[in-house]
Amino acid sequence: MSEKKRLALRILLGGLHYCCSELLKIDPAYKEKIASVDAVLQWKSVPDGPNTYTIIKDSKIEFNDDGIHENPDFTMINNDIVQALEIYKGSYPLSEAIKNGDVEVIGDKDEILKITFWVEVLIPLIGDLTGR
Amino acid sequence: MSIKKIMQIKALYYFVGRGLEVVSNTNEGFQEEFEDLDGIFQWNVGGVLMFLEAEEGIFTAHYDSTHDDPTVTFIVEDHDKAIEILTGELDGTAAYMAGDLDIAGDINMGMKFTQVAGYLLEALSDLL
Repeated sequence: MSEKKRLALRILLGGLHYCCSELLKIDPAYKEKIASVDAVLQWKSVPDGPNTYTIIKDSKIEFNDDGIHENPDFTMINNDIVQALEIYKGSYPLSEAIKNGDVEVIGDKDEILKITFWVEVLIPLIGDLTGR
Repeated sequence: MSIKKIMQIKALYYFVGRGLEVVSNTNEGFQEEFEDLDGIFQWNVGGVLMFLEAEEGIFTAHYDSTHDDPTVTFIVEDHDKAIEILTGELDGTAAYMAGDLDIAGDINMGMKFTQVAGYLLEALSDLL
């Protein structure tokens, strides 16, 4: 059961990041907004993963769907995989989850809240596809 | 096609493509059932493209790409029908019979893919 949830979360996060990369190619406004972001974000789900990370630099998004970065600027930790799926499917906004402490942040919480727009814009759109 | 629709199809391509890459490399039942499966499975939803390469049952996804000689190509014009098919809400065979899904190339391999998709949908039942 939890193996399936881990796979679902890994693929969902990957799909979100893939779409962010694709959106950069076709939406100049999105590209302009993301130009100001330079960060490495580690996404962790405890205790068993998935662990993934994102590198945003020079208006490009690079995503690794199974790994730990040596030196992330921010680490986002989900302690409950069911809740993590709700967050990344869009039924619980990511910013709110960070503010409420349901997504723990290692790093400057205010700074991460300034840059989560890059993925939040796609969560509801992709979330429409899940659990139909 | 609107940006929203394009992004949704691309997301589903990723779910299917990456999902099959992971499942075909990790699921023993899948590997046993499809160990002899070789072929190129191409998708075209309103001009948004992807192909999946299967070699001895191990899948590799190629996004935003076309293959010169696909074994089979699935063609869907309607975005909403494509979403229903790719999420498993609408059975591929039923979609083909209703004319919502066009299949070019080897139709038997097209049917084979419905078995592959069955494994994937089970593995991703917490996502789709």
